[in-house]
Amino acid sequence: MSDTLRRAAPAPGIERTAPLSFAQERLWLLQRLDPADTAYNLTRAFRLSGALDVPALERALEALVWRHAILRTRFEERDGAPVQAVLSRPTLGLTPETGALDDEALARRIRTETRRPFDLAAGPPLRATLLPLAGGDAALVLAMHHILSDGPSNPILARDLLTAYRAALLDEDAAPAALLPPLPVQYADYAVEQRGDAALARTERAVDRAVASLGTGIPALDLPTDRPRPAVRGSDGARVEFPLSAAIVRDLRALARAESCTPFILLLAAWQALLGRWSGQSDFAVGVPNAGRADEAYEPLVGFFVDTQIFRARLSPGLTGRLLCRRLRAEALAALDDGAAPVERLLERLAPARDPGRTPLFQTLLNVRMEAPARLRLPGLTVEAIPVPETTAKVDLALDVAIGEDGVLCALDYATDLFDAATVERLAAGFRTLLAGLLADPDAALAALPLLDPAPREAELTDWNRTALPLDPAEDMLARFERVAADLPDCVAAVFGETALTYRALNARANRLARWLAARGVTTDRLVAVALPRGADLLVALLAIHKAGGAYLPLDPDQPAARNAPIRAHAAPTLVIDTPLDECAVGFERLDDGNLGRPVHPRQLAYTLYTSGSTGVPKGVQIDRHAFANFLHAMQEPVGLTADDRLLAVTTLGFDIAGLELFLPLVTGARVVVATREEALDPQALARLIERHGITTLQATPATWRMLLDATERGGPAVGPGLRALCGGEALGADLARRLLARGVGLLNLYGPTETTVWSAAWPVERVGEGEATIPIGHAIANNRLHILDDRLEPVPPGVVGDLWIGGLGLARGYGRQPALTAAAFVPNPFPDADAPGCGPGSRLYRTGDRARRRGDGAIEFLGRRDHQMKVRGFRIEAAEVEAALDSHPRVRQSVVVAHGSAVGEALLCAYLVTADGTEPPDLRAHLAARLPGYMVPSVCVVLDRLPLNANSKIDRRALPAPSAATCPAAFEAPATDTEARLAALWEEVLECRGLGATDDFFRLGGHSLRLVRLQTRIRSVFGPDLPLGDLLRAPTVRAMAALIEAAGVADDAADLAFMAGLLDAPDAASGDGEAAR
Amino acid sequence: MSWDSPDTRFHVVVNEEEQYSIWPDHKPVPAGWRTVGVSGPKEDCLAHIERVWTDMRPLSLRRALDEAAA
Repeated sequence: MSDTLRRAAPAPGIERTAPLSFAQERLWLLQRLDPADTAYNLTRAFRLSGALDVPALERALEALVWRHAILRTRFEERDGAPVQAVLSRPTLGLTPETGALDDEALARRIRTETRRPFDLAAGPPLRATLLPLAGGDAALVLAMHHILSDGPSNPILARDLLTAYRAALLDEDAAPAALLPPLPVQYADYAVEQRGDAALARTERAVDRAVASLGTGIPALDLPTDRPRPAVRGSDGARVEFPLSAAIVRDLRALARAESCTPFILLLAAWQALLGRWSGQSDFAVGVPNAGRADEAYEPLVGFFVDTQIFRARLSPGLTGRLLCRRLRAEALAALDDGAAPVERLLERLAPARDPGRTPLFQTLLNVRMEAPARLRLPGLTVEAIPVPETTAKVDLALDVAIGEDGVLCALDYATDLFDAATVERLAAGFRTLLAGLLADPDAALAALPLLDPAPREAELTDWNRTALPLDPAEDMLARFERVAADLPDCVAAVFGETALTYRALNARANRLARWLAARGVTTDRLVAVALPRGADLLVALLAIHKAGGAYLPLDPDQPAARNAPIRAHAAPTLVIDTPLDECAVGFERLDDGNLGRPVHPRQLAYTLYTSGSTGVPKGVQIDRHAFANFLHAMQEPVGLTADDRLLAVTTLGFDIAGLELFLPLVTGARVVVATREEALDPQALARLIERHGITTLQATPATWRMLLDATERGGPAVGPGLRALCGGEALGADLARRLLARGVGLLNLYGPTETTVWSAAWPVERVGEGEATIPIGHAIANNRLHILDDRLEPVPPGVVGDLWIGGLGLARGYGRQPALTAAAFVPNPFPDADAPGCGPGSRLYRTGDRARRRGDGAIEFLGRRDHQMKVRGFRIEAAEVEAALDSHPRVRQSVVVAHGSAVGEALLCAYLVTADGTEPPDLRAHLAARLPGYMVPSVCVVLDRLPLNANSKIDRRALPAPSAATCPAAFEAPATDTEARLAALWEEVLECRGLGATDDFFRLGGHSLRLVRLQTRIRSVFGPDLPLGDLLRAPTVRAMAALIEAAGVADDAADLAFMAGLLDAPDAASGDGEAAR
Repeated sequence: MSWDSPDTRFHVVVNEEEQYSIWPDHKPVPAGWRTVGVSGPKEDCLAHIERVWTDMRPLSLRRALDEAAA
């Protein structure tokens, strides 16, 4: 076959032509997709010290190119397919430069060289430059495209170049071609052999076995990132280097010997374990490059032989390091027996769901290599490798381990779009700690190995939680209120509509009612249910209940009795106040109006609040007086209320955050203006109240803030610089935060479950960065502690997602008359600290059920409920991320995203929107496609007049209508337009199949990137427009692609193709296996 | 062994306020807590707590109220 090819290439100056190897084909395709991409440039630099003979070096370089025909090969396109053409003579010349570069200039120069793209068709993609250095040394910079070479070729290049240089020095007259002996086989022979029947059959068997052992549906590795993942991945990268200590290296070698495996296996086990712990995933894949020169004849060749073996991590609970090593060793040996299964073919066979934001199949690499000596000596010359900084990332995160004589040097190459150096340094530290732990105790469960050294663990537990702020147990809410009433008796305490109550009047009325209540048995820990409208009576009743020693149980007077009845039955209150006071407490106004002075125990109840959302079992959260007192005490610092402030209370009493609105003003001498229920739901009315009463502080949910912003869009001072905006109850999106900040308000983001007394964390929002999608919830408020823990209740390092647990004085007593529920949610605090109030020995932690992580600066990010995580096509999706993309469309006012299970079992992502004009913006899908990977773009969008809210002004996800059948994609849709029909015919041609639907996915039908290139060519000849491959890739259905063709006249040509690197597969174009047929 | 793993076994534990909870049996019991001699799957431990924790008021509060009453 090679003879035929050789004879078929008689072009002048060309020695022979050959097909590309599979691996080359992939790189060729990537370069064609983005000719400016330099992700696959290989640049090597050497410092030459001593007496350099430049002509000898030039001849040695030429000799190298004579010997390795691949170095005189260019890559042409013939009839839509790539061909390698070996030139009959070397074209490489040594480009000498003048000047004397210092180290900095040299580094700059090398960087420039790494970023100069190659034109694969113009000539062999190889450059050699000789740079004179300050001090008389010189630097040789060899830059080439990966299509010519690979890592294991480096020592071959160096060895042959030095041999040739030595020979050139010895014989000044020798022709360069004669300096090195010719090779019996060349890379082109390897490429031809790969295409032979025997090799194809062997490969096919290897692929079959690899597919069988890997299985399909490998989930993408979803490491927590520092920035939102771009919709299409970029290839910018950087490197963090770290050595392994001598002790670790010693243990590594010892365990490898004991287990009869290579250190590589142990490193792979540790790498899988680390990634599993960091991501919280047990199933993902790691790519491992191997030299790939199975045939001895190829060993002395320079060329791109490296292949990647895929190791699927299956980290079952309880798996130990030793067991994982044994499994990996068996996998590695089996793969060795089976022979190479090219990644290109695996991609085709495993057909993973495509996401332009990630590389397919695996998102992380481990490369373990024996390091060549860094320094070589030649006659009169010392050659030393100059490190070339890594500036591209082929995957999200790659670990490179160089095992040398002097030690083991590791490097993490990471995508700078996703990670900060500080995060990667923490990962590096985590790897070292975990590896050391694994080596020290190979029989420990991987999940139990330490990730944090003792010092950072301690920091994680305490440094971010230094919140102690002494609180006198006598300083409870009531004591503070009564003191204000004595100090500022004539100041207005509360305003209800046209009624204003002074502190004196409010206190006196509450004292009279308290005596009436006490006479009816209300005392310590007794509940009084309150179902009153938002008026003076309500506030008087709440204060009076506390004064009598009791605790209040809010019942919503607007709820049907059927809703309140089970709560009343479960809570069994001593009294119920559900009619105006002068009706239900007849005669109380004649009682004494002095303070009662009843003794208060810090652990007696302040209120019991039944949370909604529980399934069937009533959950009455019991908050004691000390917890509530601490809450008011702690909020003073972030809110900073004074006697001059006026707070507008809008929240229903059934939502615990109302406690701040009613009582924080009353303990500081400020004024609370209580909006009626009707006013609280009417943004215009709220704006009027703010203006009329000179309101300085308003606390509301994001939904209410959004409503208020929309209603005051045309100006008005209501939401402006004079307002302190407290936002909580649901996650504050970056978009809403920007809008609020743009109005000049002082913005405070708040977080906390009912079980830990209103708020547990606060974050003043000062600015929102360009790329930020979420606003942190910040830090624990005074005398609270926030811990982010893994499944074993161990703290996770910053950046890692874990469960949020809360400790401190804010913890509820529990759930009333629900011992088991209480014991399951409030558990022993494993990190007792006698110096931290509420966190000493015997204290408890509350498990929030929320997911969170700590940023590098210590602020905590809330990542949603554990149970709001959705999975679509195997990808984990956070609703908040999709919602942020929807909200960034200028016409989308509000959005919520949920996953609906469909009849066929595949979850359907559904977006509910409120838009400016009540219709779906025509460019919404394009807007989303530019920001989100395909699997995150909702399949269904439902436009609503407003999103349903529950009584607490939070979005009520359960009240969202199910998407109707009409809006669901049907299983099969015939092409509907002429363009779709013509395009479908092209698909059928390229995919060699029949009966295509308009919504079928190109890649699911056996399409791959070479077929996509063919399709691109066919589209050009049939329809005219030359559509960028990247656009076609992001429009993988007939319908979407037809829309692209129709829009081609106005299509945005800024198709950023850089993301294609690593995404596209270039499988064997010749193999039309059965999968493509339907 | 994770908190949520169905294989994890727990102890019933109690603190000085006589508040009950559960703790995985493979981890040391945190300071200020003691076991009560009941261990097993999470559900069994919680069922035990449901039976025995009849007065959920903290011990310090109960004592203060008893003294006030006496």
